[in-house]
Amino acid sequence: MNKPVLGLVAGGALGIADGLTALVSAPDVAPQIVGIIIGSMGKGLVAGILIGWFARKVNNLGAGIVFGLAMGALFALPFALATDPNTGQKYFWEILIPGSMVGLIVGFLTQRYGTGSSTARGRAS
Amino acid sequence: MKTLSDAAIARLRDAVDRPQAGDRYVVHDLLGRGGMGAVYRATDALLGREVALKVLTTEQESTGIEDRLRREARVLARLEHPGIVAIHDAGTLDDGRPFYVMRLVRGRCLDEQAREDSRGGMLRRFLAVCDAVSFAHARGVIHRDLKPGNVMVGEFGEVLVLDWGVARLADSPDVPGGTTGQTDITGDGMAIGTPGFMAPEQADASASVDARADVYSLGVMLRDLLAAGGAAAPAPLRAVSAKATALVVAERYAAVDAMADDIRAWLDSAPVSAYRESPWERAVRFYRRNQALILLLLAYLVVRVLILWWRGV
Amino acid sequence: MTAFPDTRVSLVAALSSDDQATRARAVDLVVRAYRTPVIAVLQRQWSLDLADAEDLAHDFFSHALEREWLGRYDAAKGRFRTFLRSILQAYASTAHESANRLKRGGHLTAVSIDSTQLSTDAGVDRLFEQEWVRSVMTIALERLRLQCEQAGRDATYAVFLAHDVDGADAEPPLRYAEIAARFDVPVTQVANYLHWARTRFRGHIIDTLRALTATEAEFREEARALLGRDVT
Repeated sequence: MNKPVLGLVAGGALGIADGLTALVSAPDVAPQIVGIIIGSMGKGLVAGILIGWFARKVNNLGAGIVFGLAMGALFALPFALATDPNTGQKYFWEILIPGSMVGLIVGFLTQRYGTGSSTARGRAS
Repeated sequence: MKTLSDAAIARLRDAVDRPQAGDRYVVHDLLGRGGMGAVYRATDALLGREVALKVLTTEQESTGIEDRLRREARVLARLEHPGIVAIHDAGTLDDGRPFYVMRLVRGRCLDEQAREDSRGGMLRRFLAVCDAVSFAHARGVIHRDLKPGNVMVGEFGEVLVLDWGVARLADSPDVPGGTTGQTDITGDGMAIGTPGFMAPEQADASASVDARADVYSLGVMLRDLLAAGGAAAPAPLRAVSAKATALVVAERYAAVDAMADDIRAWLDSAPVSAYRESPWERAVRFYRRNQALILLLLAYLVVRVLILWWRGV
Repeated sequence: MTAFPDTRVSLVAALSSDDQATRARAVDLVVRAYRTPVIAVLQRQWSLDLADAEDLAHDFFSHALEREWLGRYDAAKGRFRTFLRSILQAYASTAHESANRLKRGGHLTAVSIDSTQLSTDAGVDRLFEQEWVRSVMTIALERLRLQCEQAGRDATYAVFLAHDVDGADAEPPLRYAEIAARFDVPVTQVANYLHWARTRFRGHIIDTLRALTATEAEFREEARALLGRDVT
């Protein structure tokens, strides 16, 4: 499995899981869980493919983790800033931190696994 | 007349026995003697570099002896591999004995080096030996005398397999001197190899010897290298060694590559084909192989729980 | 200095030659090659001091020449070295018994070398061989010295002596650079000198062995014993 596809799959899967675990950290959002899961999965898919693309270009575990963290935070931010129309609450850290961690994990996965790295190109340069 | 001391006698004996290889090679010290030859340090006057010069020193008078060295030189010339010592030249000494010149390897024997290596480092050097031997097998050459003393680790960390003097040429159209059926390079029916390292079938002159004899020798080497490491060897590696040294040829690894694949698998925390692991061992190996990912996921869950706690507070 | 015997003539032929000069040279070589081993054996086996051993060795060779024992050597029965060892054993045994008998008031006994079963001590035999090797190498070294002197290669001989003879006892071993500095020559020249000298020295050993042996087979055996390998 190449790195962008791995990023897509891992991002989507972890996005779903991330959405589900919202029930753990914020049980009051249970009525909106389907929407949360779909949104989280969408974030994961998009962030994942970008992180996987980055891993194809840059073969560096640290850089991949940082990029993943940044992508996860970037895509989680709009949702973290939004106010829940049903509860009127903001779930800033509850969304941003786990979302960033998912990005970090996908960054790690795409650097460590998957095929089609830019190793040769990296060493030649 | 001058009186000669015992030390002078020994020195002169060595100096007199030193090969005279014409004007190009100036022979210096004796580096070592094997069963069928002696290796000297020499200087290539033409290129101005130090080389190793090998010449027969056997006392046998059978006519096939000189052919051995010539065939060894031809074998080496065809085995161009970074793990096999390179041959530079071949010729005849002033006294009619054949010789060949090869790269002078400055370094240590594998077992000496292994005492200072980590287990992983030692295994990687061992894999380099397997690569060289596998390359030779692919070209129809069986070493037949593999042992730590015939493997050197050079000054740049390169691993070199030496002493192909008793190598056997299997039937191959690419190999000069090969004939239909297997060619016994010694031709005198003697058991070839070093006791303790040679496969059981090598001790039986009437038995057929193939590449699995080298697998056996490599298995013994692996066992000894693991034991020299001090700590108890992991069960999968012991199993690799045991399979390689199976007394029944059919029960061994079919090829050196298969043995090397198992060692690489162990290094990568992947399953080793020679070893049946328990469920617990499988779980531990899975954890080791994916330790970072598992810890990251656990960290994620911990963060979720902490957020829950924080919200509760 | 007695010239070296013609190496193309086997020992047996030289010892029984009609030409007195050839015979004399062969005898001289035998004495030079075997005097030291004979003295060593007499000292070790018969517990003689050096002076007595030298006297007895002199008597032994005199007897051997007078009675033409050396000419009775039969190459078919074994090596000349073994033959000489055997007749020495017989002579020394008889001399020892006679000496004891004289002390007790008896008389001398004639020496017979016709005994075929003479028991010899393996350790003494080894000593005989070691001293024989030393003698042969000493003869060859002297040949080399003469050759270098005649060829104007005194420096070559000096370097060879310093590195391979005197230097054998040096601890730590002498390096080429040290010898080059001592004789004020380039280091590469040291290697060249040694190479030249060793090649000639080897040739002199072979020539000496050929002169001390009766047959090609015996020569090969003795060369193997001295050099540790077969020589063509």
